[in-house]
Parts: sequence; structure tokens; C-alpha cells
Amino acid sequence: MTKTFICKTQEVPENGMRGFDLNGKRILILRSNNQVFASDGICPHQEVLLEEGLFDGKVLTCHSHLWQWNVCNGDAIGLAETPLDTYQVSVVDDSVYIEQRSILELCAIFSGLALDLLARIESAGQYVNFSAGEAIYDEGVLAKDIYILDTGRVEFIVDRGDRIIYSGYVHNRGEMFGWATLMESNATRLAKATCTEAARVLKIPGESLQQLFDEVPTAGLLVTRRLWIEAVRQLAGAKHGNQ
Amino acid sequence: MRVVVNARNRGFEFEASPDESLLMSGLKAGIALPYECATGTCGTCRATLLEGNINDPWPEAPGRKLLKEARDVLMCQCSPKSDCRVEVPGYAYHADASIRPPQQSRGVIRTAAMIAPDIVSFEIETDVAFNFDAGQFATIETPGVEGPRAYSMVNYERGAKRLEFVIKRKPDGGFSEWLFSALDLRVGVEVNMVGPLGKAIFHPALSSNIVCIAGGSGIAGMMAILRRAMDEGYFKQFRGDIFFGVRRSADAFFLDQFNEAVEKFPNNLGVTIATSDEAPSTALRNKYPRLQFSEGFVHQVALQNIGSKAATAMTYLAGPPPLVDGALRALIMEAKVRPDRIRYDKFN
Repeated sequence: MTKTFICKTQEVPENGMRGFDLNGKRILILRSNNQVFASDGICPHQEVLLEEGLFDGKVLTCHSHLWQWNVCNGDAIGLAETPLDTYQVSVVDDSVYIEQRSILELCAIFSGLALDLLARIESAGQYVNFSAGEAIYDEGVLAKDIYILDTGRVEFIVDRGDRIIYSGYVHNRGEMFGWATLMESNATRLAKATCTEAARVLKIPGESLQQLFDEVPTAGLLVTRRLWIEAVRQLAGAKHGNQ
Repeated sequence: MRVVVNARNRGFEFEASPDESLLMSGLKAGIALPYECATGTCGTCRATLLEGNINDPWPEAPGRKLLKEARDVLMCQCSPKSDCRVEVPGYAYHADASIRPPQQSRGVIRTAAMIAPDIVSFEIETDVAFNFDAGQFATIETPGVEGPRAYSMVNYERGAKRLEFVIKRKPDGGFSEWLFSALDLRVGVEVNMVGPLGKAIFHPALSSNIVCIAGGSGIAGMMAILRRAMDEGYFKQFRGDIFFGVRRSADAFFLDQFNEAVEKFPNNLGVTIATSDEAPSTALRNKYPRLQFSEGFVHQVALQNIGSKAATAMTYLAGPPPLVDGALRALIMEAKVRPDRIRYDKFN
């Protein structure tokens, strides 16, 4: 990953924040007690500018619906429903550089794993591009890979023959789907995944992941525990009436 | 017509009428779709139209400036022309059973009277009993004025057929000009209403102290909250602090009601009138000995008075956008109040 220059430190008010444009993307630089943080400049909820929000030195609040995040790691606080994409920051001679985190660092089930392990997981997979309207996988087929979203949007559809049930979508960088592949038996896809926008995804073979976890069981256990949270969340969704 | 709304967590499917907005059809179907103002200004009900055709009767709606893509729509404005499918940016769930879905009703303006400079109180008699929660609002549409406007109910009672509202005169406000320009002629006029709407509601089950910070006609919903809390004897158990901001002493209203309320619950209820443009008059202080008076912006006065106690209370906000924004900043940055302890509906 390359470091990108954003601004001079003094361009950002002390204990304040300022937004910058980087190739059409809004980046928010925050300063607090000689520390510099960087995050996406747009709220992942309703796409309003976060530089118009509130920052108390640790917590960033979007003024629109009061979503809050810890600026150190982008973790959602309180009302926020999704984390905020943050960047690694380095300051050299008053120049602020940011570095995009790998999408595995943003992915909830892998958070907390060592960076070298994340790099191995990433290299076990490959980035694949899909065009709008294209299916990534069909319902009922064998689940061979797990997917992590880089860009774009993917929605999930269950076809009951007489009717179609829409079952949500992923839109944030680092969101994971297709985790049935990590089940012990030959699990099949519960829904069809279709790109509603052109999408770029990291596709990781479940087999490679299993091998890696056999080699580093502590990491495997951690990921399994995280998967439980995901599974329970989806069961709760089903209970609340996927009809 | 069939409408599918796909949220981040799941999809919803419901029957929608071409005569009603997607938002109203969805709320009536018991789905807690995202919205705040319901009148095209706040942009919270933004959705992306993926399939189908819609009618957009108000392309100049101010909330449209928050839309990002050409196919983005405001669900409170658009009605379906065919089966359609939209996506909303976030999670959505079925509404709790205690939330009353909005209904359309007809009403007649029965009274309209000035109660302060530029403030009119008016009553509407509805054709059906109108159940709502304290703090909610309805949209009112009248012949000759384009588009519905949102007003909070001042009174509170179950199955009310008479609803009380207050409105501030705005130089270019369509409905307010229509009302103010010929008050007497408006009595007897029929209006269309949709409600109840709004999530800044008070239930006694809240079981915590409450703080109300309001400016100008924003005090309307706070009166319903005060009414309900008093009827239930809520202030025998919990504390209530109301801060009402106006420019000058002469602009204040509802002071008789406030004075009586504090007389009933002197230990646990406090009402402070904040005047921003001049010191509160001695005449007012003498006339209302139970009330507190302070010079300054209402959110600053409120923060000075309650300070860190705000953190454990539920705070309700209403009023002009600069007041709501200022109050949010003060509560979150200075008093460190958690956002889930603040309730307000956005109208900017």
C-alpha cells in the first residue's frame, strides 16, 4: 500500500478537523493532543460531510443523526450502525500522509488478527471484478469461497419459486459475505448474490482458509467465535420475519 | 402496487397506493422506514430506485439536495406508478406494536387566535378520533397552499377529536401566510391531515428525568409532553425541566399554563423562560412568580442550569434549526450526553 500526502499539519486546526479531496474522495483529517487521525469524510449512513459534525478529541459525531465513532479505529459507538473507514496516518516534517488499511483489517471476523496473518489470508485470495447486474454466486450451489467487499454493492435474493425474497445487501468496504464455506459439511448457498453496482471483491477459497487455521489454531478459534456473532445476527434477522 | 424496500439487513414487501407516498404506505404496513420531517425537507427518507416508476410531485423539495444519485428519491414525496423496488441506506425493522401507523383524516379549523406577536394558536376538529403520542406531529394540507406542512400537537388526550397547534408567522411560509393574512376567514375551512408522525415521543415508561429545550413554536410538542406527564403524576417520581426560548419578553406564551404546572409540582418541575435579545422584563417576573427567567440563548441557559444532570435525563429538543444544532453541540460536546438520550425530529 502506498502512502499518500494529504496536507500540512497546520492546515488542520488543533483539536479540530478538516476535509480534503483526494481523487474525488473526501478524506477527513482530525487533530487531537498532537495526534493526527484520518477517516472517510462522508458519513456511511446518509452521505453527509463529517467535517460539519462534532469532534471532542476522541469521538466524532455526525451532526445529521448523531452517529458516533472512535476516531482511533473507526469503531461504531452508540447509535451508529456501521463502522467508519479509517486510515493509517504518518506525519513527516509536518506533512500528513495516509495509507489505506487492507480490507481484511476492516473485516469484522478478522479484526484482531496479526497483520502478517492478514497478509497471508489476502494473498490466498484474489481480487475479482463484477459488472452491474452480474451474479457472484447462485442459490443452492456448493459454497467454495468467502467474499470480502472492496467497492460496489451486492444484494442477496432468495427465490421461493412463486416469489422472491430480498434479504439485504452489503455496501461498505470490508463487509464479508458467503461465509457458509467455513462450515464443516458441504454447505450450499442460501441466497443468490447479485451486484447492483459494479463491484470489486476479494475472493478467498474456504479450503485455503481452513488450512491456514489448522496451522494457526488460535486464529481459527478467534474467527470462529466472530462467525458465531454473524450467524446469531442473521438468525435474529430471520426470526424478525424474512416471511 | 407491490413495493419492495431492501434494507441492509433484509427486505420488506408491501402493497402501496398510487395516491400515497412510499413512506406513508410503508409506515401503514407497519415498517419503521427511515424518516423525520415527512414533508420533503430533511432528506432522511432517501432511497435509491432500483426498479419501476414513481411520481415525484415536488421536484424542488429542499430535501432533494441531500440526494446523491440521479435515481435517488425522497420516499415521503414519491408515489408509485408501477410495482417498484427501492433500497434504503441502513437497517430497517418492523415497527413496535405500540407505534400507531399514520392515517389520513379530514378536519375543520374551529378556532384561530393570536397568542403572541407572530404566533397563532389554532384548533382542528377531526372526523375520526386521532390517537397519538405526546411529542408527535401531523401534516396539514389546505386548499390553495402547495404541499403539506408539519405541526406538533399541543394538547394530549386519548382519542382526541380536537387537536391544538401553534404556528409562527414566516415571511415566505405558504401555510403561515395563508393563515395569518385572514385569521377570521380561516375558521370553518376544511383541511387534510396525515398523522401521527414523529419519533421524539414521551411515554411514562421512560422512567427517567426529562429535560425539554424549545424555541418559539417548538414549544408545541413539549406542551403535550408536559400535559401527559402531569396527567400521569410523573413528576411525583421524576424531575422535569423545561427551557423555553424566545427573543423578547413580549414573545413568550403559554406562561399561565407553565405557572399553574409548577404550582402543582413545585418540587420536581422547573420552567425557565430564556430571552435572547433583551433582559426579561420585571413585569413578567412579577406576574409569574413560579417561573424562572434568564437572559441568553435557551440551550446555553439550559446547560448552565442542568449541567451534568443532563447525562442521566432524556432531553427533548424542538425549534428553529440553529437552536437545535446549538443545543446538540452543547449537549454532546460539553455535557457529554449520549445521543440515544436526546430526542428530536429534524425539520431543516
